[in-house]
Amino acid sequence: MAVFVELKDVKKTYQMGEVEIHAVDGVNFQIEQGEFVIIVGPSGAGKTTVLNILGGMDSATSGKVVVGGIDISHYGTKQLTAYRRSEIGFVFQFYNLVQNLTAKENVELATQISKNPLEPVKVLEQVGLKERMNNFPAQLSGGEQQRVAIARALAKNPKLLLCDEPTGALDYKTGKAILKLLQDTCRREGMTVIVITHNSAIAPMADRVIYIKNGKVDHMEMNEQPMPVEQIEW
Amino acid sequence: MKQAMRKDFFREIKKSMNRFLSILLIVALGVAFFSGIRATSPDMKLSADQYYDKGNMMDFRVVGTWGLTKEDLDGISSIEGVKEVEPIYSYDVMGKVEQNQYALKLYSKPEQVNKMTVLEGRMPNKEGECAIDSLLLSNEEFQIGKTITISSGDEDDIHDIFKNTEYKIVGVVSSPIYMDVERGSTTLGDGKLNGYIAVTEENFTMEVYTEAYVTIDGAKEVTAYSKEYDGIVEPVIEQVESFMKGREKLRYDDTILTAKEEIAKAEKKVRDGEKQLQDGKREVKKAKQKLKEARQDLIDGEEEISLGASALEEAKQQVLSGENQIDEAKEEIERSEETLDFGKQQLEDGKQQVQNGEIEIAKAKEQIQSGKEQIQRAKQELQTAKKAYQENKEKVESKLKTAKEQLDQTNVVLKEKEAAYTKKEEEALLRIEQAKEQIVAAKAQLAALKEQIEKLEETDSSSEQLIALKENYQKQQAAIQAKETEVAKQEEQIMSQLKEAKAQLTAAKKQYEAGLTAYKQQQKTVDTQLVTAKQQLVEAKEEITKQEAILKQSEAKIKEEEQTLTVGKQQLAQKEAEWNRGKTKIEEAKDTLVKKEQELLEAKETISNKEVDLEEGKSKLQDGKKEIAKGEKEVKKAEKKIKDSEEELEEGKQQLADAKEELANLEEPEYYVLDRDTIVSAVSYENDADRIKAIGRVFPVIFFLVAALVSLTTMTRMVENDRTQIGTLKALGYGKVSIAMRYILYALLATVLGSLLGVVIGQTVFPYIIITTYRMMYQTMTEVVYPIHSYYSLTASFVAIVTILAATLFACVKELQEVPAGLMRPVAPKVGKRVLLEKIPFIWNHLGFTGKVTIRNLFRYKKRFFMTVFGIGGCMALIIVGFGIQDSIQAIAKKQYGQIMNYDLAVSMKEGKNPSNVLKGQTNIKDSLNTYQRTVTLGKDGEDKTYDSYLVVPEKAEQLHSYIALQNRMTKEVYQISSNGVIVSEKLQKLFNLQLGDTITLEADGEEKTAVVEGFTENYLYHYVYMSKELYKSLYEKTPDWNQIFIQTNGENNEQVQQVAKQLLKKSGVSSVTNLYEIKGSTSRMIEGMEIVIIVLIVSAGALAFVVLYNLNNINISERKRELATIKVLGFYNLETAEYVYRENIILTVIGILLGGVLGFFLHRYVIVTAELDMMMMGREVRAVSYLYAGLLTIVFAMFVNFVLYFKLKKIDMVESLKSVE
Repeated sequence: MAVFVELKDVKKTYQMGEVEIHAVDGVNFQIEQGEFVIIVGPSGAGKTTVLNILGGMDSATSGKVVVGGIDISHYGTKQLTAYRRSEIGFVFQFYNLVQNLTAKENVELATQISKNPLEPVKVLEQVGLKERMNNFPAQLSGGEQQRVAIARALAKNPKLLLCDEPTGALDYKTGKAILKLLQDTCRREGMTVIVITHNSAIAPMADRVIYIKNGKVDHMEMNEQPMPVEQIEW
Repeated sequence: MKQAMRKDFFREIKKSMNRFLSILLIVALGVAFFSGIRATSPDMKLSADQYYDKGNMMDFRVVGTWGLTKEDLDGISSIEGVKEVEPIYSYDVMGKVEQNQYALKLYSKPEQVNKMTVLEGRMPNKEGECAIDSLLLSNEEFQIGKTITISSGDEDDIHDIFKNTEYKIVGVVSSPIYMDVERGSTTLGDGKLNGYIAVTEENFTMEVYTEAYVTIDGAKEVTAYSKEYDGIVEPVIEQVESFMKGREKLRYDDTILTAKEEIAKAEKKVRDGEKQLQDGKREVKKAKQKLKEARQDLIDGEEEISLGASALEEAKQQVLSGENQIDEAKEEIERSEETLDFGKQQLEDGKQQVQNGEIEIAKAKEQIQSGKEQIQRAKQELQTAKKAYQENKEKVESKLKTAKEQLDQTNVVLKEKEAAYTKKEEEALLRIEQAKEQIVAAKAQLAALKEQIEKLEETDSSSEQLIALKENYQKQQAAIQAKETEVAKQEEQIMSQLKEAKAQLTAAKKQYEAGLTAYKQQQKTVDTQLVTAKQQLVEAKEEITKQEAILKQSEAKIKEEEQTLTVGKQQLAQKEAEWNRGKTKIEEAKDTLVKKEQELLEAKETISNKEVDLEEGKSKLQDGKKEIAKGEKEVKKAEKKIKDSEEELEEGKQQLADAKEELANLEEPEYYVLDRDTIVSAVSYENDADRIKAIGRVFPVIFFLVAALVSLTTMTRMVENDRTQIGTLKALGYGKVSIAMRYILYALLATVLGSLLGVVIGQTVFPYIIITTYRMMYQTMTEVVYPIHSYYSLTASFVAIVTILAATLFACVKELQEVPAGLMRPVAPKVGKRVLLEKIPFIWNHLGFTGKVTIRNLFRYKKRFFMTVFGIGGCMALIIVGFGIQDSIQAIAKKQYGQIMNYDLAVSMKEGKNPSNVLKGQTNIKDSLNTYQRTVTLGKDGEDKTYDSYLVVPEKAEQLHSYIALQNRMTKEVYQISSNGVIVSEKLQKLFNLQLGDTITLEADGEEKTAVVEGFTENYLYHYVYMSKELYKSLYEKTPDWNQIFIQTNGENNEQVQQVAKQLLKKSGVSSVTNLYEIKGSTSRMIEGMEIVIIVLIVSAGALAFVVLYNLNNINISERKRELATIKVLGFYNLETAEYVYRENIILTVIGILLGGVLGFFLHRYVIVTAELDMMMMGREVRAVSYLYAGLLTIVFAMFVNFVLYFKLKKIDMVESLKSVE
């Protein structure tokens, strides 16, 4: 399979007064198309920074970030926005649904700016929320809200789905269901999914596991036979 | 407060400087407006008080119908509490500098009280000098150095009151009793005073003072218009009033006594006078008789002299005619002698002429003889010439004939030669032709032969026959060729021969032609010569004939002359005989003349003697006449004296009667004690100050409300933000109070600082601007005082602090009541809700996605919704009020002088002058209407208020509408004045609360009349009462004196109309001319000053809009930071993100503008009605364009805020979206 994402010596430095903080200090890895990837690391290891850079929310201080054959490391604000708009689907830890919009409308919020979006109702059906489509976020459970968030990310028809601790705010069972949804989407749609988590227990379900520590890739594991989520316990 | 918390507190302020400042500023704005506008009214009064104190303004004045005597003044001075008494003279006059007449009040200059301030030049300090009211400077005629000539405006004699009637202007002054532009009314001119002038006291010759200015102890120390002031002044005034009441009776009795004594004295004088008159009359009668006799004597003497003189004249006439006759005779003789001499000369000349004639005739005869001989000779010569001509002619003709014959012969030969040649040519050609034909025939044979050969060749090519034939053929062919050659040669020969012959022939022909031409030439020459010769012969013959005729004429003439000579000789002889007879006659005439001259000399002597006698008689007569004239003069003098005495006596009697009557009718004198409330400008100033107070009650409240609301939301937001921290502190064991203190102190600090700022700025800026603006109307008021009032400062600050603290507490209480655990949990996000609109699918489904989001968001944050709408609405309303005030004020001049008053000029007549002659011969007048106009004091039964108003009575009621539009503003009903009632201006309706059919009172010159109100007409400036001629007659029992003419000119602009005005002013009887164009201009200018107020309002509105919108949006953005960050992550561009927020703002702005429009409409109405002066009505409408401007400005303000917010939105970090919910 072809390399879809490549990070080469990516560094991110923050200047805090006189101290330079290296949030990411030379990260290198490659991800192939259609892989389910989990990036694991303790808090403050720099995984969120990597995600931000990958998601076009932040740019690297140095290094190369290639997504789908295009180097985005030197993109400006406007180009990054366009990149987020068409290439990236984002799933947040706290779902970040607009409270004032129904589930369907939240999905529409994303589709109305995409170039070739999917039908919001169909996507919601896919994530199993057909019945609750017209409910406001406050009327939905956490898992349901996260499903809406995933639907919102998917409806944009992105090339890359980035998930930041998607189960962080969910209970065990619901979290598992969400992970399954993500894994299924990856398998079914052939979409590249990157999940960031501090929970290394779920690592076996991924095709590729990248361990990050102190702003560097500690090591990387490939699972020839990824485990279905149902079989993983933590 | 614990140390840690204090640190936290100050760090909080530093961190949230924006929020802190926004509370501070909005409090400052609210407090500034609240305290500033409220302080303005007292500041106005303080400024006025300071101005009054500077001029030592009186507290009251005393005026008496009989004036004030020394006793009056002494009495007033002695009353307790009275500080100073300043008696002055004043009198209303008409004054003139150049052209216009002005109604002026002349004051003797006050020294202590109501002191005038010199603005320019100096005070007058001697007789004939004056200082003028600064208001008069608006008329260009009044300038320092010019002279005012005063005259009495009525029948009073100006010299009874003033020593001087001319006053030189030496200065310009202002007086504390005249602050504005009103100078009160008078009985002169058009009833309105134009200004006052001050002169020194000695200019007045009046016996008593007209008024006295009085100040009171302690009144100066307290503020004017205040309650304390009234408390000090009122008791003193009461005392003075009771004292003056006593003086009224005293003075009346005193006067009656003196008057009676004087009348008795006068009566005695009258009686003495009558007696003297009688004596005088008798003497005059005697003198007249004597004079009559003398006159008769004189007439007789004159007749005698006249007779003598006429006889003398006749004699003189006779002598004169005798002399004339003699002169004529002498002249006659002289003339005859002259004629005689002339006749002799003529005779002599005649004789000489006859002799000369005879000699000449003899000479002429000789000449004729020689002429005849000459002619004979000429005839002979002619004969010879004729003969020679004949001979020559024959000779030439024969010669020509021979030449002709030769030529003819040559011609015949030539013709023969030509014929021969032609023949030869024909022959040769024929021969050649024949030869050629032969050749052709031979050729034909040859062709036949060839054919044969060819035929043979076809059958048998080698036969012998063929060979022979071929040979033959070839032979023949050769023969033909030879022949052809021969023929060609022959042809050539012949041709050349022919050519030669032709050439010869042509040469011969040419010769012949030349000969012919020569012959013709010769013949022509000969002919010409012969003709010339013949011509000469004819001419010679003619000449001879002419000479013969002349000769014959000469002979005849000589014969005539011989005859004339004979006649002349006979005449000469006759004339000589006549001459001799004339000479004898003249000698006889000379003798007669000498005799006549002798007789005339004698007659002359006699006449001379008679003349001397006549001269003596005449001289005597002259003396007699002189004596009579003297006598007549004396008599006349005496008669006049008697008449004067009679008149004097009559007058004396009349005066005596008048005095007696006056005394009988004499009313008691009246004194008036008038306090400051009777000074027009002082009262209207107080009214203005009170009006600002009214405005101060409304406007600041709006600002304060907004300030409180903004602070409430800000503090609520702050407390909500700190939820977790509050929870933590609570968990740590801090009490509610100490936690709340943090927020209360935060708000308190901001509010106190804001209040301080607001108090200082507000009470400085607003009073200053507003008082300065009002000074345009109260021009002479020089003081502007704006201290910081502790009362307004404290109340405003107190209200601010209480409101903000209450808001803060309200925000805290909710959070403080929760348990720490609850506080640690993030607050449940506000649940999304369906809005009512969603239930109407028709509309909802047609809204785009963004539209739905926007509408849901609007209804989700209701607090924000109402506050934004209120803020923007307030801004819009304030701007509308600003523009609206301008519109309303502009409407005054525009409507009053553009729509209501439609005439160009108003001409005021001098007292009692008839306007009918003014317009005679005046050009450029379109139309005119005579009216009667005067100032009346209007009142209503049961109302204390009175208003000065113009009473207008048109001569032709039906024409009034084309000069003044009488129309109700609301109902648009057009009024016609009737004989039943009056039409009054609209403002009076409001001031008196009048209804149709109500009765009003009109007071003028002490007469009070009542009239029924029939309509309220639209009017903006001053008060007017329109009355019909008929009603006036029935009320006043007289026809009105038409004292004003309304004129419509043909002029189209100010210059043209002014031109007409100038011409009219020169007409006799015209007192003044008012140009409406000028008034419109000056009224508009006066009003321009109000623009400051408008700018203040607009700037305040902008500040309000900015603070409110900025604050609310700030809160909105920070509340929705997470949402906005998420949207950004989703890939919204910056502008799209901004639009997401702006869309809501735009809708809120639109709703706010609509609400503000309505609010502004009512607010404007309230402000206008509260703020307008009694004498004017401001326009009630706000122009549509003002709404438009207000809306646009509001949009600009809103856009500006959104623009600032854009940068704030741009700064939102997307990482926010990853953070956990607080």
